[in-house]
Amino acid sequence: MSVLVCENLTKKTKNQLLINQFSYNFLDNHIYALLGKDNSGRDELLEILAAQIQPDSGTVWLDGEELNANIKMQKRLCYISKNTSFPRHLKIKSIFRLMSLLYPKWDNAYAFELSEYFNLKRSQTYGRLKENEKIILSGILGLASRANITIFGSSLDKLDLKTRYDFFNFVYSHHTRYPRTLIIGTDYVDEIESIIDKVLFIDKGKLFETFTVQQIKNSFRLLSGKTEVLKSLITDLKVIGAEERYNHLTVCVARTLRKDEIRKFQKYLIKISEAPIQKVFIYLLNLREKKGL
Amino acid sequence: MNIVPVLSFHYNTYRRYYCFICLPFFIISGILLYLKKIPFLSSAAVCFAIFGSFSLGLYEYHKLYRYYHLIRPSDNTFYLSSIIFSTINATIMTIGMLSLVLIDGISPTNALLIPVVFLASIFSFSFASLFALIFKKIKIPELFIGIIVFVILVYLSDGKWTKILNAINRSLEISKTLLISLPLLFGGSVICFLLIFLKFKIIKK
Repeated sequence: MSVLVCENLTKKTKNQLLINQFSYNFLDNHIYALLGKDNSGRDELLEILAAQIQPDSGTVWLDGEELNANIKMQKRLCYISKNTSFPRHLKIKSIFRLMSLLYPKWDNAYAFELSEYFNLKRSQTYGRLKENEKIILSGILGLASRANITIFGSSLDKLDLKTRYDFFNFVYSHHTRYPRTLIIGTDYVDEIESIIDKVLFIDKGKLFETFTVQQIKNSFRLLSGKTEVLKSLITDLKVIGAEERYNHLTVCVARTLRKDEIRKFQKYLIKISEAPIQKVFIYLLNLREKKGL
Repeated sequence: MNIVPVLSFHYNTYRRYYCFICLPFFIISGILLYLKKIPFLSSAAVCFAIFGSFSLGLYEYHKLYRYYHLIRPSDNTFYLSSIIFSTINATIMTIGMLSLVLIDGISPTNALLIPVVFLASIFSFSFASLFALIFKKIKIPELFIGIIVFVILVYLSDGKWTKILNAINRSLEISKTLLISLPLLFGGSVICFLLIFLKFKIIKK
Protein backbone atom coordinates (compact mmCIF):
# COMPACT_ATOMS: atom_id res chain seq x y z
CA MET A 1 0.00 0.00 0.00
CA SER A 2 1.20 3.53 -0.74
CA VAL A 3 -0.68 6.61 0.26
CA LEU A 4 0.94 9.97 -0.22
CA VAL A 5 -0.50 12.63 2.03
CA CYS A 6 0.32 16.29 1.48
CA GLU A 7 -0.37 18.56 4.39
CA ASN A 8 -0.39 22.34 3.92
CA LEU A 9 2.59 22.44 1.61
CA THR A 10 3.98 25.91 1.01
CA LYS A 11 7.00 26.89 -1.01
CA LYS A 12 8.15 30.37 -1.89
CA THR A 13 11.06 32.10 -3.53
CA LYS A 14 12.17 35.64 -2.74
CA ASN A 15 9.36 37.30 -4.71
CA GLN A 16 6.91 34.56 -5.54
CA LEU A 17 4.65 32.13 -3.74
CA LEU A 18 5.18 28.90 -5.69
CA ILE A 19 2.94 26.58 -3.69
CA ASN A 20 0.22 27.86 -1.45
CA GLN A 21 -1.15 25.60 1.30
CA PHE A 22 -1.44 22.52 -0.88
CA SER A 23 -3.19 19.64 0.85
CA TYR A 24 -4.25 16.46 -0.86
CA ASN A 25 -4.22 12.68 -0.38
CA PHE A 26 -2.93 10.62 -3.28
CA LEU A 27 -4.53 7.23 -2.78
CA ASP A 28 -3.13 3.80 -3.52
CA ASN A 29 -3.20 2.48 -7.09
CA HIS A 30 -4.89 5.54 -8.56
CA ILE A 31 -3.72 7.50 -11.58
CA TYR A 32 -3.73 11.27 -11.16
CA ALA A 33 -3.24 13.98 -13.74
CA LEU A 34 -1.99 17.39 -12.69
CA LEU A 35 -2.89 20.34 -14.85
CA GLY A 36 -1.41 23.78 -14.52
CA LYS A 37 0.07 26.65 -16.45
CA ASP A 38 3.82 27.06 -16.84
CA ASN A 39 4.28 29.05 -13.65
CA SER A 40 1.51 27.42 -11.69
CA GLY A 41 3.92 25.70 -9.29
CA ARG A 42 3.12 22.29 -10.72
CA ASP A 43 6.75 21.32 -11.34
CA GLU A 44 7.75 22.50 -7.87
CA LEU A 45 4.89 20.51 -6.37
CA LEU A 46 6.04 17.37 -8.17
CA GLU A 47 9.59 18.01 -6.96
CA ILE A 48 8.33 18.25 -3.38
CA LEU A 49 6.30 15.05 -3.78
CA ALA A 50 9.46 13.36 -5.02
CA ALA A 51 11.51 14.78 -2.11
CA GLN A 52 13.79 16.62 -4.50
CA ILE A 53 13.16 19.90 -2.77
CA GLN A 54 11.82 20.59 0.68
CA PRO A 55 8.74 22.70 1.32
CA ASP A 56 9.10 25.82 3.44
CA SER A 57 6.25 24.56 5.55
CA GLY A 58 3.99 21.54 5.54
CA THR A 59 4.76 17.86 5.35
CA VAL A 60 4.56 15.01 2.86
CA TRP A 61 3.71 11.66 4.45
CA LEU A 62 4.21 8.37 2.68
CA ASP A 63 2.33 5.60 4.45
CA GLY A 64 2.40 7.49 7.70
CA GLU A 65 6.11 8.29 7.61
CA GLU A 66 7.58 11.65 6.80
CA LEU A 67 8.99 11.45 3.29
CA ASN A 68 11.87 13.89 3.60
CA ALA A 69 13.16 12.43 6.82
CA ASN A 70 13.01 8.85 5.69
CA ILE A 71 15.45 7.82 2.99
CA LYS A 72 14.13 4.26 2.86
CA MET A 73 10.75 5.52 1.74
CA GLN A 74 12.33 7.12 -1.30
CA LYS A 75 13.02 3.70 -2.80
CA ARG A 76 9.29 3.46 -3.26
CA LEU A 77 9.12 6.64 -5.23
CA CYS A 78 10.35 7.34 -8.74
CA TYR A 79 10.22 10.80 -10.30
CA ILE A 80 10.86 11.29 -13.98
CA SER A 81 11.25 15.01 -14.51
CA LYS A 82 12.07 17.08 -17.56
CA ASN A 83 15.61 17.38 -16.18
CA THR A 84 16.22 13.66 -15.70
CA SER A 85 19.45 12.87 -17.52
CA PHE A 86 22.57 10.73 -17.31
CA PRO A 87 26.26 11.05 -18.17
CA ARG A 88 26.67 11.14 -21.95
CA HIS A 89 28.90 8.10 -22.18
CA LEU A 90 26.65 5.75 -20.16
CA LYS A 91 25.09 3.01 -22.24
CA ILE A 92 21.40 2.27 -21.98
CA LYS A 93 22.13 -1.12 -20.45
CA SER A 94 24.35 0.54 -17.82
CA ILE A 95 21.54 2.94 -16.98
CA PHE A 96 19.18 -0.03 -16.58
CA ARG A 97 21.74 -1.73 -14.33
CA LEU A 98 21.98 1.39 -12.20
CA MET A 99 18.21 1.65 -11.92
CA SER A 100 18.02 -2.01 -10.90
CA LEU A 101 20.25 -1.17 -7.94
CA LEU A 102 18.13 1.82 -6.99
CA TYR A 103 14.69 0.26 -7.28
CA PRO A 104 14.07 -3.10 -5.63
CA LYS A 105 11.16 -3.98 -7.92
CA TRP A 106 12.97 -2.95 -11.13
CA ASP A 107 11.68 -4.92 -14.13
CA ASN A 108 14.68 -5.39 -16.40
CA ALA A 109 12.95 -7.58 -18.96
CA TYR A 110 10.19 -5.02 -19.34
CA ALA A 111 12.72 -2.20 -19.71
CA PHE A 112 14.43 -4.05 -22.56
CA GLU A 113 11.09 -4.95 -24.10
CA LEU A 114 10.04 -1.32 -24.16
CA SER A 115 13.40 -0.06 -25.39
CA GLU A 116 13.20 -2.56 -28.24
CA TYR A 117 9.67 -1.38 -29.06
CA PHE A 118 10.82 2.24 -29.18
CA ASN A 119 13.96 1.34 -31.17
CA LEU A 120 16.49 2.14 -28.48
CA LYS A 121 19.58 -0.03 -28.78
CA ARG A 122 20.85 -1.27 -25.45
CA SER A 123 24.48 -0.58 -26.38
CA GLN A 124 23.72 2.98 -27.44
CA THR A 125 25.20 5.70 -25.26
CA TYR A 126 22.95 8.28 -23.64
CA GLY A 127 24.73 11.16 -25.37
CA ARG A 128 23.92 9.76 -28.80
CA LEU A 129 20.21 9.58 -28.20
CA LYS A 130 18.01 12.19 -29.82
CA GLU A 131 15.98 14.47 -27.58
CA ASN A 132 12.73 12.48 -27.97
CA GLU A 133 14.62 9.22 -27.41
CA LYS A 134 15.97 10.59 -24.15
CA ILE A 135 12.44 11.43 -23.06
CA ILE A 136 11.08 8.03 -23.97
CA LEU A 137 14.00 6.41 -22.16
CA SER A 138 13.08 8.40 -19.04
CA GLY A 139 9.51 7.21 -19.44
CA ILE A 140 10.69 3.60 -19.71
CA LEU A 141 12.74 4.03 -16.54
CA GLY A 142 9.68 5.32 -14.72
CA LEU A 143 7.54 2.39 -15.80
CA ALA A 144 10.14 -0.33 -15.29
CA SER A 145 11.05 1.01 -11.84
CA ARG A 146 7.70 -0.31 -10.63
CA ALA A 147 8.03 2.11 -7.76
CA ASN A 148 4.91 2.27 -5.59
CA ILE A 149 4.53 5.90 -6.52
CA THR A 150 5.72 6.92 -9.95
CA ILE A 151 5.65 10.57 -10.90
CA PHE A 152 5.98 11.71 -14.50
CA GLY A 153 6.74 15.38 -15.05
CA SER A 154 5.58 17.24 -18.10
CA SER A 155 8.55 16.02 -20.20
CA LEU A 156 6.37 13.37 -21.87
CA ASP A 157 4.40 16.20 -23.50
CA LYS A 158 7.38 16.80 -25.77
CA LEU A 159 7.02 13.38 -27.40
CA ASP A 160 5.31 13.17 -30.75
CA LEU A 161 1.64 12.19 -30.81
CA LYS A 162 2.13 8.57 -31.89
CA THR A 163 4.94 7.82 -29.43
CA ARG A 164 2.94 9.42 -26.66
CA TYR A 165 -0.08 7.33 -27.55
CA ASP A 166 1.99 4.13 -27.58
CA PHE A 167 3.71 5.03 -24.34
CA PHE A 168 0.45 5.65 -22.48
CA ASN A 169 -0.89 2.36 -23.84
CA PHE A 170 2.05 0.73 -22.09
CA VAL A 171 1.31 2.77 -18.98
CA TYR A 172 -2.23 1.43 -18.97
CA SER A 173 -1.29 -2.22 -19.52
CA HIS A 174 1.55 -2.09 -16.99
CA HIS A 175 -0.67 -0.42 -14.43
CA THR A 176 -3.28 -3.11 -14.91
CA ARG A 177 -0.67 -5.79 -14.31
CA TYR A 178 1.12 -4.00 -11.46
CA PRO A 179 -1.28 -1.50 -9.91
CA ARG A 180 0.41 1.46 -8.25
CA THR A 181 -0.02 5.18 -7.85
CA LEU A 182 0.88 7.26 -10.87
CA ILE A 183 0.99 11.04 -10.86
CA ILE A 184 1.27 12.57 -14.31
CA GLY A 185 1.92 16.24 -14.95
CA THR A 186 0.58 16.84 -18.42
CA ASP A 187 -1.08 19.39 -20.65
CA TYR A 188 -2.58 16.76 -22.95
CA VAL A 189 -4.92 15.26 -20.39
CA ASP A 190 -7.65 14.49 -22.93
CA GLU A 191 -5.35 11.95 -24.56
CA ILE A 192 -5.10 9.97 -21.36
CA GLU A 193 -8.55 10.49 -19.90
CA SER A 194 -9.33 6.81 -20.35
CA ILE A 195 -6.56 5.77 -17.96
CA ILE A 196 -6.71 8.46 -15.28
CA ASP A 197 -8.90 8.44 -12.20
CA LYS A 198 -8.61 11.99 -10.97
CA VAL A 199 -7.64 15.36 -12.33
CA LEU A 200 -6.13 18.10 -10.19
CA PHE A 201 -6.26 21.70 -11.38
CA ILE A 202 -3.51 23.94 -10.04
CA ASP A 203 -3.11 27.67 -10.41
CA LYS A 204 -0.70 30.02 -8.65
CA GLY A 205 0.42 27.18 -6.45
CA LYS A 206 -3.09 26.49 -5.23
CA LEU A 207 -5.18 23.42 -5.84
CA PHE A 208 -8.39 25.03 -7.05
CA GLU A 209 -10.40 22.05 -8.31
CA THR A 210 -10.29 18.27 -8.28
CA PHE A 211 -12.54 16.05 -10.32
CA THR A 212 -12.80 12.44 -11.26
CA VAL A 213 -12.99 12.01 -15.03
CA GLN A 214 -16.56 10.81 -14.60
CA GLN A 215 -17.48 13.96 -12.67
CA ILE A 216 -16.22 16.12 -15.53
CA LYS A 217 -18.15 14.06 -18.03
CA ASN A 218 -21.32 14.34 -15.96
CA SER A 219 -21.08 17.92 -14.79
CA PHE A 220 -19.91 19.81 -17.86
CA ARG A 221 -21.48 19.98 -21.28
CA LEU A 222 -20.50 21.72 -24.47
CA LEU A 223 -23.33 23.28 -26.47
CA SER A 224 -22.68 24.52 -29.97
CA GLY A 225 -24.83 26.08 -32.63
CA LYS A 226 -25.65 29.32 -34.40
CA THR A 227 -24.71 32.27 -32.21
CA GLU A 228 -28.07 34.09 -32.14
CA VAL A 229 -30.03 30.86 -31.53
CA LEU A 230 -27.77 29.55 -28.78
CA LYS A 231 -27.49 32.91 -27.02
CA SER A 232 -31.26 33.07 -26.64
CA LEU A 233 -31.40 29.54 -25.21
CA ILE A 234 -28.75 29.75 -22.50
CA THR A 235 -29.98 32.73 -20.52
CA ASP A 236 -30.81 30.62 -17.47
CA LEU A 237 -27.74 28.37 -17.63
CA LYS A 238 -24.44 28.83 -15.78
CA VAL A 239 -21.93 29.26 -18.59
CA ILE A 240 -18.28 28.90 -17.60
CA GLY A 241 -16.76 29.56 -21.02
CA ALA A 242 -17.68 30.51 -24.56
CA GLU A 243 -15.99 30.56 -27.95
CA GLU A 244 -17.37 32.21 -31.02
CA ARG A 245 -16.00 31.30 -34.43
CA TYR A 246 -17.64 32.61 -37.64
CA ASN A 247 -21.16 33.07 -36.24
CA HIS A 248 -20.94 29.69 -34.56
CA LEU A 249 -21.01 29.72 -30.78
CA THR A 250 -19.75 27.02 -28.41
CA VAL A 251 -20.44 27.35 -24.71
CA CYS A 252 -19.55 25.18 -21.77
CA VAL A 253 -22.19 24.80 -19.08
CA ALA A 254 -21.43 23.60 -15.61
CA ARG A 255 -24.29 21.29 -14.84
CA THR A 256 -26.11 18.18 -15.96
CA LEU A 257 -28.84 18.97 -18.44
CA ARG A 258 -32.37 17.84 -17.73
CA LYS A 259 -34.28 15.80 -20.31
CA ASP A 260 -36.58 18.70 -21.23
CA GLU A 261 -33.55 20.96 -21.72
CA ILE A 262 -31.89 18.40 -23.96
CA ARG A 263 -35.06 18.14 -26.02
CA LYS A 264 -35.24 21.91 -26.31
CA PHE A 265 -31.63 22.17 -27.54
CA GLN A 266 -32.12 19.34 -30.01
CA LYS A 267 -35.20 21.08 -31.37
CA TYR A 268 -33.11 24.12 -32.23
CA LEU A 269 -30.29 21.99 -33.71
CA ILE A 270 -27.88 22.70 -30.89
CA LYS A 271 -25.17 20.08 -30.64
CA ILE A 272 -24.60 18.70 -27.12
CA SER A 273 -21.33 16.98 -26.35
CA GLU A 274 -19.05 16.07 -23.45
CA ALA A 275 -16.67 18.82 -22.44
CA PRO A 276 -13.00 17.94 -22.89
CA ILE A 277 -11.01 18.19 -19.64
CA GLN A 278 -8.52 20.63 -21.17
CA LYS A 279 -11.34 23.02 -22.12
CA VAL A 280 -12.92 22.79 -18.67
CA PHE A 281 -9.52 23.61 -17.17
CA ILE A 282 -9.02 26.62 -19.44
CA TYR A 283 -12.53 27.96 -18.79
CA LEU A 284 -12.22 27.57 -15.03
CA LEU A 285 -8.84 29.27 -15.19
CA ASN A 286 -10.34 32.16 -17.18
CA LEU A 287 -13.08 32.50 -14.58
CA ARG A 288 -10.46 32.70 -11.83
CA GLU A 289 -8.59 35.38 -13.77
CA LYS A 290 -11.80 37.35 -14.25
CA LYS A 291 -12.51 37.15 -10.53
CA GLY A 292 -8.97 38.31 -9.88
CA LEU A 293 -8.01 35.18 -7.98
CA MET B 1 22.10 3.22 4.06
CA ASN B 2 22.84 1.41 0.81
CA ILE B 3 25.88 2.87 -0.84
CA VAL B 4 26.23 0.26 -3.60
CA PRO B 5 24.06 2.06 -6.20
CA VAL B 6 26.07 5.28 -5.94
CA LEU B 7 29.38 3.44 -6.04
CA SER B 8 28.12 1.61 -9.11
CA PHE B 9 27.17 4.95 -10.61
CA HIS B 10 30.70 6.21 -9.96
CA TYR B 11 32.21 3.06 -11.38
CA ASN B 12 30.13 3.24 -14.57
CA THR B 13 30.89 6.91 -15.00
CA TYR B 14 34.62 6.92 -14.46
CA ARG B 15 35.86 3.51 -15.61
CA ARG B 16 36.64 4.79 -19.11
CA TYR B 17 38.75 7.60 -17.69
CA TYR B 18 40.97 5.09 -15.89
CA CYS B 19 41.11 2.68 -18.82
CA PHE B 20 41.79 5.18 -21.58
CA ILE B 21 43.65 8.02 -19.85
CA CYS B 22 45.21 6.97 -16.53
CA LEU B 23 46.45 3.53 -17.45
CA PRO B 24 48.06 4.60 -20.77
CA PHE B 25 49.67 7.61 -19.06
CA PHE B 26 51.37 5.53 -16.37
CA ILE B 27 52.34 2.77 -18.84
CA ILE B 28 53.91 5.26 -21.27
CA SER B 29 55.61 7.15 -18.44
CA GLY B 30 56.94 3.87 -17.04
CA ILE B 31 58.30 2.78 -20.40
CA LEU B 32 59.91 6.19 -21.00
CA LEU B 33 61.43 6.17 -17.54
CA TYR B 34 62.73 2.64 -18.02
CA LEU B 35 64.23 3.30 -21.44
CA LYS B 36 65.55 6.77 -20.82
CA LYS B 37 65.79 8.77 -17.63
CA ILE B 38 63.66 11.81 -18.28
CA PRO B 39 64.24 14.49 -15.62
CA PHE B 40 60.72 15.93 -15.27
CA LEU B 41 58.76 12.70 -15.50
CA SER B 42 58.08 12.29 -11.78
CA SER B 43 56.90 15.89 -11.41
CA ALA B 44 54.77 15.45 -14.56
CA ALA B 45 53.24 12.36 -12.96
CA VAL B 46 52.49 14.29 -9.77
CA CYS B 47 50.94 17.10 -11.84
CA PHE B 48 48.88 14.54 -13.77
CA ALA B 49 47.61 12.97 -10.55
CA ILE B 50 46.66 16.36 -9.11
CA PHE B 51 45.16 17.78 -12.30
CA GLY B 52 43.28 14.53 -13.02
CA SER B 53 41.82 14.46 -9.52
CA PHE B 54 40.93 18.13 -9.81
CA SER B 55 39.02 17.49 -13.06
CA LEU B 56 37.19 14.53 -11.53
CA GLY B 57 36.29 16.61 -8.48
CA LEU B 58 34.85 19.32 -10.72
CA TYR B 59 32.83 16.80 -12.71
CA GLU B 60 31.70 15.06 -9.53
CA TYR B 61 29.75 17.96 -8.08
CA HIS B 62 29.14 19.91 -11.24
CA LYS B 63 27.48 17.13 -13.24
CA LEU B 64 27.37 13.75 -11.57
CA TYR B 65 25.77 15.00 -8.38
CA ARG B 66 22.94 16.58 -10.38
CA TYR B 67 22.37 13.44 -12.43
CA TYR B 68 22.18 11.35 -9.29
CA HIS B 69 20.11 13.84 -7.36
CA LEU B 70 17.45 13.71 -10.05
CA ILE B 71 16.91 9.99 -9.67
CA ARG B 72 17.58 9.60 -5.96
CA PRO B 73 17.19 12.88 -4.09
CA SER B 74 17.99 13.89 -0.53
CA ASP B 75 20.12 11.14 0.77
CA ASN B 76 23.70 11.43 1.92
CA THR B 77 24.91 8.37 0.08
CA PHE B 78 26.30 10.46 -2.76
CA TYR B 79 28.42 12.46 -0.35
CA LEU B 80 29.76 9.32 1.33
CA SER B 81 30.32 7.60 -1.96
CA SER B 82 32.16 10.66 -3.20
CA ILE B 83 34.60 10.46 -0.28
CA ILE B 84 35.10 6.73 -0.89
CA PHE B 85 35.60 7.36 -4.59
CA SER B 86 38.16 10.12 -3.96
CA THR B 87 40.12 7.65 -1.81
CA ILE B 88 39.90 4.99 -4.52
CA ASN B 89 41.05 7.52 -7.10
CA ALA B 90 43.95 8.57 -4.88
CA THR B 91 44.89 4.92 -4.39
CA ILE B 92 44.93 4.31 -8.15
CA MET B 93 47.09 7.41 -8.66
CA THR B 94 49.42 6.27 -5.87
CA ILE B 95 49.74 2.81 -7.42
CA GLY B 96 50.62 4.49 -10.72
CA MET B 97 53.18 6.67 -8.94
CA LEU B 98 54.52 3.64 -7.06
CA SER B 99 55.18 1.85 -10.33
CA LEU B 100 57.14 4.89 -11.56
CA VAL B 101 59.07 5.05 -8.27
CA LEU B 102 59.93 1.37 -8.54
CA ILE B 103 61.25 1.87 -12.07
CA ASP B 104 63.13 5.02 -11.09
CA GLY B 105 64.65 3.41 -8.00
CA ILE B 106 63.60 3.85 -4.39
CA SER B 107 65.19 6.82 -2.64
CA PRO B 108 63.92 8.60 0.54
CA THR B 109 62.49 11.44 -1.58
CA ASN B 110 60.87 9.02 -4.00
CA ALA B 111 59.32 7.07 -1.12
CA LEU B 112 57.87 10.28 0.31
CA LEU B 113 56.27 11.07 -3.05
CA ILE B 114 53.81 8.21 -2.57
CA PRO B 115 51.87 9.60 0.45
CA VAL B 116 52.16 13.09 -1.07
CA VAL B 117 50.49 11.94 -4.29
CA PHE B 118 47.83 10.12 -2.28
CA LEU B 119 46.95 13.12 -0.14
CA ALA B 120 47.38 15.65 -2.94
CA SER B 121 44.91 13.67 -5.08
CA ILE B 122 42.36 13.66 -2.28
CA PHE B 123 42.91 17.34 -1.59
CA SER B 124 42.62 18.46 -5.22
CA PHE B 125 39.51 16.29 -5.63
CA SER B 126 37.85 17.73 -2.53
CA PHE B 127 38.90 21.28 -3.34
CA ALA B 128 37.54 21.00 -6.90
CA SER B 129 34.29 19.48 -5.58
CA LEU B 130 33.86 22.39 -3.20
CA PHE B 131 34.69 24.83 -5.99
CA ALA B 132 32.08 23.20 -8.27
CA LEU B 133 29.45 23.33 -5.55
CA ILE B 134 30.09 26.99 -4.75
CA PHE B 135 30.49 28.25 -8.31
CA LYS B 136 27.69 26.24 -9.88
CA LYS B 137 27.22 28.61 -12.76
CA ILE B 138 30.75 28.34 -14.14
CA LYS B 139 30.69 25.70 -16.85
CA ILE B 140 33.39 23.05 -16.96
CA PRO B 141 34.36 23.60 -20.64
CA GLU B 142 34.88 27.31 -19.97
CA LEU B 143 37.06 26.49 -17.00
CA PHE B 144 39.16 24.03 -18.95
CA ILE B 145 39.53 26.40 -21.87
CA GLY B 146 40.73 28.98 -19.34
CA ILE B 147 43.28 26.57 -17.89
CA ILE B 148 44.53 25.58 -21.37
CA VAL B 149 44.87 29.24 -22.40
CA PHE B 150 46.76 29.90 -19.16
CA VAL B 151 49.13 26.99 -19.81
CA ILE B 152 49.74 28.19 -23.40
CA LEU B 153 50.45 31.71 -22.17
CA VAL B 154 52.91 30.39 -19.60
CA TYR B 155 54.54 28.28 -22.30
CA LEU B 156 54.80 31.19 -24.70
CA SER B 157 56.25 33.48 -22.08
CA ASP B 158 59.90 32.74 -22.79
CA GLY B 159 60.54 29.34 -21.28
CA LYS B 160 58.85 30.04 -17.96
CA TRP B 161 56.99 26.75 -18.23
CA THR B 162 60.30 24.89 -17.90
CA LYS B 163 61.14 27.08 -14.92
CA ILE B 164 57.84 26.14 -13.26
CA LEU B 165 58.45 22.44 -13.88
CA ASN B 166 61.98 22.92 -12.54
CA ALA B 167 60.61 24.58 -9.44
CA ILE B 168 58.13 21.71 -8.91
CA ASN B 169 60.89 19.23 -9.48
CA ARG B 170 63.17 20.99 -6.99
CA SER B 171 60.43 21.12 -4.37
CA LEU B 172 59.72 17.43 -4.88
CA GLU B 173 63.37 16.68 -4.29
CA ILE B 174 63.35 18.35 -0.88
CA SER B 175 62.14 15.81 1.65
CA LYS B 176 61.41 18.54 4.20
CA THR B 177 58.94 20.29 1.89
CA LEU B 178 57.23 16.98 1.23
CA LEU B 179 57.01 16.22 4.95
CA ILE B 180 55.47 19.62 5.71
CA SER B 181 52.95 19.25 2.91
CA LEU B 182 51.53 15.98 4.28
CA PRO B 183 49.57 17.39 7.30
CA LEU B 184 48.61 20.46 5.27
CA LEU B 185 47.10 18.34 2.51
CA PHE B 186 45.33 16.11 5.01
CA GLY B 187 43.93 19.05 6.96
CA GLY B 188 42.91 20.82 3.76
CA SER B 189 41.05 17.75 2.52
CA VAL B 190 39.17 17.33 5.80
CA ILE B 191 38.14 21.01 5.78
CA CYS B 192 37.03 20.83 2.14
CA PHE B 193 34.92 17.72 2.77
CA LEU B 194 33.35 19.32 5.83
CA LEU B 195 32.50 22.44 3.84
CA ILE B 196 31.04 20.26 1.06
CA PHE B 197 28.85 18.57 3.65
CA LEU B 198 27.60 21.93 4.92
CA LYS B 199 26.96 23.22 1.41
CA PHE B 200 25.24 19.94 0.61
CA LYS B 201 22.83 20.50 3.52
CA ILE B 202 22.12 24.06 2.39
CA ILE B 203 21.40 22.95 -1.19
CA LYS B 204 18.97 20.29 0.03
CA LYS B 205 16.92 22.99 1.72
